[in-house]
Amino acid sequence: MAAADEQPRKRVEMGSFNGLVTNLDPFDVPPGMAVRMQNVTTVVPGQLTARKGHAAATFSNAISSTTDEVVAMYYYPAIIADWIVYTLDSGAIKAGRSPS
Amino acid sequence: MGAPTISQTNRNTFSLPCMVVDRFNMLHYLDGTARGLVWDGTWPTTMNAGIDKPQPPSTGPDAGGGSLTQDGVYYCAYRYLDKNLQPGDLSTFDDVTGPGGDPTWRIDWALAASADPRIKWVELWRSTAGVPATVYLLIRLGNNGAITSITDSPATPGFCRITGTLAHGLHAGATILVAGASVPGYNAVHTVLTEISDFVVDTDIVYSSNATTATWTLTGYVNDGTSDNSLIASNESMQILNTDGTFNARRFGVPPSYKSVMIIFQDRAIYGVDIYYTAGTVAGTAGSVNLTGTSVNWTTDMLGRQIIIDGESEPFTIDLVPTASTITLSKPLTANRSGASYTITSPRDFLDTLIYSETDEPESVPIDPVLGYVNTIKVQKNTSDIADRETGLMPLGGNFYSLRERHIYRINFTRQPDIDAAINLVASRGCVNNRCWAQLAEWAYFLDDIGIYRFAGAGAPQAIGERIQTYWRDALIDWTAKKWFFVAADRQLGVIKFFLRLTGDSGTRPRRAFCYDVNHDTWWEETYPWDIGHACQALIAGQVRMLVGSDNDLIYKTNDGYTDAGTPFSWSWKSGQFVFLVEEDQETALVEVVFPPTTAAESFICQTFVDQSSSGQVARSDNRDNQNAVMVAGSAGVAVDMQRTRDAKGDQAGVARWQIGKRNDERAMNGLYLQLSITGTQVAETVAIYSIAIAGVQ
Repeated sequence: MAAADEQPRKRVEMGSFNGLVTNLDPFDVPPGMAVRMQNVTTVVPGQLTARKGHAAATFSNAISSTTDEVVAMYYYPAIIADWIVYTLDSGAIKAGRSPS
Repeated sequence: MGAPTISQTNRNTFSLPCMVVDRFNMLHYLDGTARGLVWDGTWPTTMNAGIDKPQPPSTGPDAGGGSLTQDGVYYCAYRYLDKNLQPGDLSTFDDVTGPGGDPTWRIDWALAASADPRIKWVELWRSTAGVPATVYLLIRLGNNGAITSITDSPATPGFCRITGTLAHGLHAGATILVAGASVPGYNAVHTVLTEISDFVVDTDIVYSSNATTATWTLTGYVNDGTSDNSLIASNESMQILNTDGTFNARRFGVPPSYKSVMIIFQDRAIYGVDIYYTAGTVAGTAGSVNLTGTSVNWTTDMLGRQIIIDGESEPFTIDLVPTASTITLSKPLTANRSGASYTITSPRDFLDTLIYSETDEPESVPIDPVLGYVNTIKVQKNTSDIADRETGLMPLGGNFYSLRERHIYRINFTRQPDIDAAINLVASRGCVNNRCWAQLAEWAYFLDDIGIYRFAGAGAPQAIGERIQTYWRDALIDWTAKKWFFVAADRQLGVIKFFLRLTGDSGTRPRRAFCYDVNHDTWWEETYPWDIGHACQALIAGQVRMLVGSDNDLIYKTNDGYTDAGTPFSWSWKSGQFVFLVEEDQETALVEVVFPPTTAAESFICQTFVDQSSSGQVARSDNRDNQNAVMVAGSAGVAVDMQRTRDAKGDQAGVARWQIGKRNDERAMNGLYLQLSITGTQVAETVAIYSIAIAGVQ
């Protein structure tokens, strides 16, 4: 086996990343493109960057959560305060004040 | 954490809501199943959209203290207003004739206060004798209110003094019904004799003892004795019709409950997108007009809509909705029905019809008593594609667009849509639902049944999803869940996210999104540990942030932290196929991955796949001699430690380099093809890869 620092003559360099392409013969996928690219982004040019995470938003009028699921939401900057108005699958409409 | 409920009752979520803010900063909420709602951010709950038209007043002559001297017919009507003095339609007239020579003649009014909590005021409008084309504002009175005390009046001892809330709107001559007073005799109709202050009045009911905490409701007015001349000289006037014959005093009709989408365009509200309510099944008996539903949630606002029942050759009109599971039809069923499918949709005359409001009055949609809504735009289809229901409305630039399943129509008007609206078919692409478009900069991005595209209003749509067309072509998308699909623009990242479900995905709503980087024209896929119900943008600490709504009443900030609310998530990247260089006589190739070293403990696994194998190469023996790439016998892939302090000797560069064999098996010939994947789990710090190099392939 060759030593790790021996360099073969030719190499493929992938110094920039051009996203996901599933609709292509994998032999035609250019270097830097990917047939699978999950939770990793190209938002920083030239590199792959794992997506950031999620953190629960809090509201100044927060109360205990229910077990219902959010099915619609809207940002409503009213005159007095900003609100997130959202609908649960139960049909209840809720309003969270000053999201942070 | 959750948030307080602002709805008075739960909504039917068969159709997901559309929310819009108008220029008065009022939030509009509609879903097509029931009457729309409005909320101004200060009301404790949402209110009904639009203000109801009152029943006509009951007026009569009273020879008691007025100064109406002109003989003729007086036309009397009233209307409700909210706290912002937004009015509803003027009631139909009740007329009274007089005074027939009586020098002290006046008109007494009986009316019905509104039960709508939105209503704060009642305005009484009256014509001069014999001239119904113009009415004058007689007086504005409070609709109802709270009473804090009833005491003996110092001004008129022995009679009641009512103290209520500030700005009660009660004036001399108003009649009110008091209820809930601890002194039974006070629970009667009082006539206000004197307005003492903004929250105190004296009435004509005899005082007996003090009382507290009651309520009052307006019932009428008995002080309408203003002469015609005074009325004309001093009072606001209102034409019943505009000079072109259109409605003026009665232009404030309630918006249609059966349209599920609203946009604001040129300061008018445009209502569109019919819903086709199909939840559950129906049953009924031949000859009966009563229909019973199973697994349905009908609303009283479905009154007047049409219902098509499987097996019945003619549509029905819904005459009554006694309960959420019973309907009274306009005519009897022709046969017994059991477990029948059905569809409730808009009244036939307004199917596929846009209904627009008056200018600057998004809740004012004129209604002709016979014809119904009069501000309408019929979107005449000029395609042969019958499966092309309207699915959304979208304002963009100087136009708005009727989005359909497979086409887009551009609509614009200058001032009067009934005269100068122009409608043009501009694209043969569609939109799955009203949540499946999003705008970023000058482009609108869409999801339809054949892929993803963008459209700027001018020119042809541009398909941008060709690289991931596999999901459409190979029928991988779960279209049975298309109700839940949506598109969101992440302004912070410059990324459009298309949330959808693939067949076999867990949960109910999308747990993945295909993400399009607008700036770099690239795609990737994101997956989430929860159902994502919807998304919106919000300003948080001055920064535009994308929020998503999920399970358990939770809203999440995206692009925040390194985990999904504490749970690390995996990421992966896999290359296309490379070809080993045939001229190389070496049995190995070299892989090098460069990355920013991390402060926290982060790592990834790099796997190689030879000759189109779906299994990664397995190390034959332990190998820790490579640069930052650990192979363990029997394990697939090499483990790379990304941490800068991974070696006690000092800070390390972010690089890993190792050799791979070209064979899957010792007995095999040298391989021909190579594919490489990198996978990891982000824990405490953003993970990135600067470059990947493979020597010995092309």
